[in-house]
Amino acid sequence: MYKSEGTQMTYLSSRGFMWLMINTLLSLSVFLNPSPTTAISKQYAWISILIGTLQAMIVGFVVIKLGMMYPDKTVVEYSQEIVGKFIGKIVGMIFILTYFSIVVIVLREFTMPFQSFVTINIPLLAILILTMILILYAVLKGLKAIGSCSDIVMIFLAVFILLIFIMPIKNIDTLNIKPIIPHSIGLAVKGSFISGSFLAEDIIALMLIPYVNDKGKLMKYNQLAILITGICLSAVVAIEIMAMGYERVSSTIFSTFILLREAQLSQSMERLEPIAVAMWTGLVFIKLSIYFFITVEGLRQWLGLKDYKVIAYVLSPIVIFLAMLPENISEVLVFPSRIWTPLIYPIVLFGLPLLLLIIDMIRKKAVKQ
Amino acid sequence: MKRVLIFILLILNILNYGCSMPIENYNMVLLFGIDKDVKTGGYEVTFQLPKMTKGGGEGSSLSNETFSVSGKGKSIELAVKDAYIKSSRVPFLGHIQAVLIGEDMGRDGIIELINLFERDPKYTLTPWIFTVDGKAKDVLETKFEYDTMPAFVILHITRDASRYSLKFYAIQLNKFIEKMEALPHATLMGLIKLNKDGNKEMLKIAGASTYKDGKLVGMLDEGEAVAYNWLLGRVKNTDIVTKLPSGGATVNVGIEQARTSIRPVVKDNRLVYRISVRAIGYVEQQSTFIDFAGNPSIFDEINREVDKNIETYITSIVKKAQDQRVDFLGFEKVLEHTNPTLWEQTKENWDDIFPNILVEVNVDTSIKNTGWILINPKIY
Repeated sequence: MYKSEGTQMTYLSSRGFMWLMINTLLSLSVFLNPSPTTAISKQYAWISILIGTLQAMIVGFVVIKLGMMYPDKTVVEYSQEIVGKFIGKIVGMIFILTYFSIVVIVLREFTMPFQSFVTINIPLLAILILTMILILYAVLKGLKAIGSCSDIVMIFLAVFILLIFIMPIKNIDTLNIKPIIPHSIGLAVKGSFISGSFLAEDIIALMLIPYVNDKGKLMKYNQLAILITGICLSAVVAIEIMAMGYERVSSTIFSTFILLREAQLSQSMERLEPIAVAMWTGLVFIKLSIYFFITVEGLRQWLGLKDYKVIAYVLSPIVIFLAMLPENISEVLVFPSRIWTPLIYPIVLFGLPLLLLIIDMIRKKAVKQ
Repeated sequence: MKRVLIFILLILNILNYGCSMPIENYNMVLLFGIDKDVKTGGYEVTFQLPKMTKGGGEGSSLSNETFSVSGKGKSIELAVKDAYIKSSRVPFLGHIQAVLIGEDMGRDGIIELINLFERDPKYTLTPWIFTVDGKAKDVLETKFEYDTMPAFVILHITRDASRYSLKFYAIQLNKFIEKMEALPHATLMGLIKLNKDGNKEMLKIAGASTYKDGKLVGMLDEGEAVAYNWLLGRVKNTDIVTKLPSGGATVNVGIEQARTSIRPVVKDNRLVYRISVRAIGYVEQQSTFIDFAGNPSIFDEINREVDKNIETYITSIVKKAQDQRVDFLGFEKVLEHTNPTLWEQTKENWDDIFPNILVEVNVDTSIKNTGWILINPKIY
């Protein structure tokens, strides 16, 4: 299935787009965000995430504004119109590489809880290959199939979030999260860039806008998706701080997983973390599928090919190979902390779309005059 | 192609299915004891496991009997693995009900033990954790005459009996870690010992043990545990016995609800902790005739006496902590979360500041009813 020249095929309603976005933004950040944010912002981490959400909503506004200038084209196509063919190709490739890097790193991060807690004896390569087969299958079936899967998986997301809110209720100590108003606003702002960078993954909209049918409501649903995700993430972090104390949250890699592991709602309702991980698998599957889809579709447009299937087949083993490269867990976590948040977030996620938007507006004004 | 793919996926699924070992090969560790191995300077780990008996149907079932196995090693994990090879089945560590720490081990430090339980997913994070007054191995190897396994006796006392008695403090591992990682890195743990009742050996859970920076630094007796529970507002249902000055009657007041709030303030350039307790109770038992209907002011007298009792408890436990110079009351954490600006100024010298903190206790007890009797029959 590919986007044919001239006639645009639409697969997503704007509401479906919102669910897909929430799924994509929340699935990994709910596991990877609490610990680094709490390490910086301590008990104010939940406020940090709300500040990060505001940052991401600004990115979301720029992204949709830019995308709606060319509603039938993806960023790989219209960047060549805005800044010329050569620079446009470079800009397009930067976006494709960003999407691709997420596929690789998320695939590797996805295996970490499995290797640590669930299937300790299964080799890394086996998990990577099996997951990649599943993703490849979904991508070959096209965006419509991924969208339908996302609608189903949303139920998992709701149950997963509910489990996080209800299960640890007996462990909660409200003193842990006090004071509600931060004594140092700088502490709260410092940690906000991590969640901001996770939520600014909204730039996938630059590739998805052409596939949405009722584009008039796109801005509203996109901002709503970021807001809902931010509030959910903030609430999860608040629960974690109350149930575990900020010191423990910041020192644990998968604090959300540990939160569920030690939650005992009653004598029979405990150790439900395998159920949570099973649901989380579904969520990350959607995230990986959508990112892999826009990577191969973007590359198809960049290369000017007609079918993306060949690219998907070629890229799959490369993704597995690259995901195997990090030697240990600290090398895996280097990417989000040293590359994604300080470099990719300000330059690619925020700077580049804003620059394209400004140039496009100036260019159009000049043409009018 | 599609059929081949489905076939491969099915085969992979079958290969992955189930546990890597049949469940019959495992036996659950219910109690996990750890002591210092004096000879080698390493560790000695003792597991208590249930004896499996052949049931009427297929497989085996649990009896009330237990047995224990021990292992020694340079590290805790090596000692655990040593115990593995002495067990009849593979010990399963995901359902440990309680961890018992020998006194020697506690004094030497339990950071390694906590580290192991936090890192390795094969251990559970929610067992109850106790210091043993003596050796943990002795407790685990003792034959008791309970109608159930010792692990469930401990569970019953900590989970159910704690609703009715304040004489002991009990905490689960995850909550202990939380308190130990927070400043001032000092907190309490449960205390367990062997107690002889005639010829019978009994488990006695009473008092508490204090830890600072991961090391056992002291123990609290039953009265001090009651005081600590009052200070922290860990009161669900308890009794206070008091003698009324007016008539000399002894009254047992049942407390059914109590809340404590701790608020640090600065007064005359000194740090003052204002501790307020609100308790609601009822007259449960009395020694002489008291006419509650004819003399309602008697309620005020009982309230005042109960207030005094609770105030004495709280001031005594604060004094104990200040004398020891160990903030196991969590006063620093309260300051950090209620007045972080002031905490920033005090955190470096907290160990010197804590012993000089002033405490203002304000207790407000309210007796709401007198049970099912208002006027005592004139038989007393």
